[in-house]
Amino acid sequence: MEWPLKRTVNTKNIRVLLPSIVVVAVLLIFGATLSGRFISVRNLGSILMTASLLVFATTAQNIVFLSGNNGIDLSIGAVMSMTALVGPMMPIGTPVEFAFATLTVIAMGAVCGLLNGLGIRVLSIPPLIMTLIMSNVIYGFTLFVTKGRPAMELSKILLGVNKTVFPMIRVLTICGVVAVAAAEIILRKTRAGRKLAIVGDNPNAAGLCGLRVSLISVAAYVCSGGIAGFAGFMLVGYAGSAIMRMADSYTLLSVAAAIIGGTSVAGGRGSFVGGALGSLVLILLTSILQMLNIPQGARFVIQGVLLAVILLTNTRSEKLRQ
Amino acid sequence: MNRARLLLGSLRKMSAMPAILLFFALLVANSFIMANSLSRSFLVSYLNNTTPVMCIAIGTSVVIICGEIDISLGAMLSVGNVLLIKLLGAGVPYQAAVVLVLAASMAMGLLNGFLIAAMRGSSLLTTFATSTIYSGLALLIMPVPGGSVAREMSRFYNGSLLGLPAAALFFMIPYAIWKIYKRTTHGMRLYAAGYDRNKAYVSGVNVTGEKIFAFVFAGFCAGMGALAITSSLGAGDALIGAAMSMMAISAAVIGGVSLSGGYGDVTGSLFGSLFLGLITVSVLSSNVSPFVQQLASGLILLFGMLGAMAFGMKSGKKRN
Repeated sequence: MEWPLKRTVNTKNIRVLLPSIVVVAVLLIFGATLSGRFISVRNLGSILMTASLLVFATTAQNIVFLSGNNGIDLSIGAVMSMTALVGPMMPIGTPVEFAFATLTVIAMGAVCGLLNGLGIRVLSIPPLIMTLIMSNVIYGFTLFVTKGRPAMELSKILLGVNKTVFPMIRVLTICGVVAVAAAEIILRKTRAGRKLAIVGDNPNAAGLCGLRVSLISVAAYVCSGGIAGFAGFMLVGYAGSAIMRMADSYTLLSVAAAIIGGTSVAGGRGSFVGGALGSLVLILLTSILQMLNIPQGARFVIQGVLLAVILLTNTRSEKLRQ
Repeated sequence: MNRARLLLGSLRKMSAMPAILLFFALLVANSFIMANSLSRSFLVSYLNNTTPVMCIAIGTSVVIICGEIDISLGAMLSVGNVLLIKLLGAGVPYQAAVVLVLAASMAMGLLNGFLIAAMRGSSLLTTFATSTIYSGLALLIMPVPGGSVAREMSRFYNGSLLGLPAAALFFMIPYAIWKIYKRTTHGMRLYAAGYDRNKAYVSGVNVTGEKIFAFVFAGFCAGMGALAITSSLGAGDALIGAAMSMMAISAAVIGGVSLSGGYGDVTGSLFGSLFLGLITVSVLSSNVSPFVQQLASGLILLFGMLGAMAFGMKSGKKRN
C-alpha cells in the first residue's frame, strides 16, 4: 500500500512541477517587459484572485482524474454556474446565514457529484458522457429554479471575498491556498487520500487489496461536485453578479490546468499544487493576451496554439513500437 | 418461428438498436403532443434542422470507433460556416466556395490527426486546444454574425431530390463514404486500431494512418455540416457550432458507439442525433413553461442514455 504513494511523493514529483514553474516565470517576465503595470501589486493581486477561482475548479477536476477509470468531470462549470445563481437567492445577512448558505451550496454540488458517481459506477455510463449529460440536467435545473433571472444584489459578506488582506493577497486567494494545501495534505498524509491514489493507480489491484473501489470512486465525484459548488459561490462573490452559464469555460480550463500541472489522465498520479500552478499558467496567459489588446479571435488562436504546445510536451502517449 | 427468433436476435445484437427504438418511441410520443408531427412538412423541416448535427455525429463516431475523440468538430463547422459566407460575399462562385470550405475543413482535420496520431497527443486535450484555435479563426474571419448565401444553395437545401428532402444528401454523402470504407480491409483495420492499438500495430495495421484518416474524414463531415447549416440559415455566425461537438458525442454513445473504441457503427449515431433533435422539438412544442423545457430535455436525454446503456448491457456487448 505504501508503494504508489511513495511514487507520488518522491523527487520525481518536483520534476513534474518544473515545466509549469518555468512557464509561470517566463510569462511573468514577458508580462513585465510589456508593461510595468503588469507586475504592479494591484494587477498581480487580481491575477492571483482570478487564478484561485480556477484553482478550485482544478482541484475538483484533479480529484476525479486521480480516481482513475477514465474519470473526468465535465459538469464542473455547470455546478459552478448553478451555485453562482442559486446561492445568492438564500438570505445572507449574518455570518451564521452565510455559513449555512455555504454549506448548502456545497451540498448541492455534492448531490450532483453523487448522481455522477452513481451513474458512472452503478450504471457504468462512461464518465465523459455521464458528466456531460449531467451538466445539461444541471443547467435545466438552474433555469427552472431561477426562472432565468440573473443574480444581481449580493450581500456584503459574499462580496467580502474581494477584500484585500495584505497587499496582493485577497480573501479569495487565501481560500484557494488553504484549499490546495488541505487537499495536498489529505492526498499525501491521510488514509482517504492514499486510498484514492491507489484506486486510481490500479483499480483491480486495489479491489484485490480489499479497498472498496466503487465507494471511493463515487466519493471522488462527490468531493469534486462539492468543491465546484463552493467555487461557484465564490465566483459570484468575486464577479458581483451571475448569469446563466457564466462558469462554462471553467470545465475545460480545469482539465487543461490539471494536465499542465502534471496530473495523469490515466489516474493515480498527480498533485493539487501542480494543478494550482497550471491554473496560474492559464490565467497569466489570458491576462497577458488581454493586456496586448488584440481582437478576441486572435487571442483564442494564440491561446489554443500555446495550449497545444504545452499539452503536447506534457502528455504524450508512449510509442507503438516498443 | 425459428427465423423470427433469429431475426429478433440479430436485431438485438445491432449496436444501433437502442437509438432506433428511442427515436421511434419519441416520434410516437411526439405525435400525441403535436397534431401535425407526422406530416411531411414537419418531418422535412425537422430533418433540415438536424442534418448539421447528423453530419458531425458521423465524423465523431468514426473518430471514436478509431479509439480517439474529437471535440473540435463544432468549432470546425463554425469556421466552415463563416468561411463560406465570406467567400460568397467576396464574389467567389458557390461551387468553388463549397470546394474550398471542404478543403479547409479537411485541412483542420488533418492538423488534428497529425497532432494526435503522429505527435501522440491525447485526443481529448489536443482537440480541446485545436477547438480553441478554430473558434478563434472563426471569430477572426467574422467577428459579428451576418452575411447571406447564394440563392441556389438555400433553394437546393430546402428542395427535394428524387422525392426525398435534399438536406438528406448532406449526411448521406459522408455516410456512404464511410460505409464503403468500412467494407474495405481498411475498415476492419480502423476498427482493430480502435479496439486495441497495440495488438493492431503488432498485427501490421498502420494505426497512425487509420487514425489520420479518421480525423480527416471527421473534418470532411464537419465541412458537410457547415455547408448544410449555411444553406439552411443563410447567414454566418462564428459561434454557431460551439455546442454541437458535445451533442454529437452524446448522439454517438446513444447510438451504441463504445467510447473505448472499436465497437459500434455510424447508423446508430444518426438515429442518436435524430433522437436528440426530436427532444428539442418535442419539448419546445409541448406547452410546458420555457423554464422547465431545458430541465425536461436534459432528463429525457439522461433517461434515454440509461435505456441505451441497459440495452447494451443486456445484449452483452458493452465494453465501456
